[in-house]
Amino acid sequence: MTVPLLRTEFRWSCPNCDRTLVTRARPTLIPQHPCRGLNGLYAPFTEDGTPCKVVAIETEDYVAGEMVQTDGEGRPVVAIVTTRDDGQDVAVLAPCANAQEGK
Amino acid sequence: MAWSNSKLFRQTLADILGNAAAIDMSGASVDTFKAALYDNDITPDNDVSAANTAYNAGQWASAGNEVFEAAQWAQGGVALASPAINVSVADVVYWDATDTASGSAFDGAAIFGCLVYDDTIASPIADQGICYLYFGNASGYSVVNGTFTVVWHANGIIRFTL
Repeated sequence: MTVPLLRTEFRWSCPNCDRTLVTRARPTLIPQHPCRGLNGLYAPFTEDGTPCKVVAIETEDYVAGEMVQTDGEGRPVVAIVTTRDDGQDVAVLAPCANAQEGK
Repeated sequence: MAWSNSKLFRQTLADILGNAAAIDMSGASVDTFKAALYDNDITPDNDVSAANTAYNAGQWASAGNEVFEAAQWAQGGVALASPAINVSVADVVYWDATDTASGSAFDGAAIFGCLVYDDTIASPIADQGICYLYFGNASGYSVVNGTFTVVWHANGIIRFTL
């Protein structure tokens, strides 16, 4: 008789800090955490054992009045890119369309 | 010209306030809103007519501009989960949603920004645009066999400071 082996937990970690997470199922969204290694940005975890690097991308363009997302030091960060052996994930930190005088 | 900023469409705001478009952005009967990804061949303009805010119209024509992959980030965009208006902060009204993500095997290149539009209303304009957001990278983004996630700003997708 064949018995299927069901994964009952998924372990997540971060290459930039020591935070870890265990989930009972694979979440629809990649779980995130406030990452000390990326100046407090909410960065995605990576599945435990996945060789990868996770880097924050600062804006390459003028902020020019945009309400952008910033790291803990106030630098405008536009994305967090996870590079794996077999691919690349991108989490863009979208600005806010701000309706305010002069914006 | 190309992408340079993030804006709410002027005519859409006027249509909502003037009851010309029954766009329901929050509550029990909230509409379905989608985020469609675009490359840098377009020049978004928040002052266009209502018809030209719509998905697959004007600058937002899909052919040659939209970035998508079937079953990953679908053509026409991915639906926003839990869109809601928030008035918990004094002098501020903002509209937010849960972060939006592709499937885990998405391949997409030259992603510069997104159009957020109402996929529910059919008249007077179908798929009327709400706003567009520039992702702030003059080189665009590429995803390879991975997940593309739009992390909406903690201040909301659109925000009115009164």
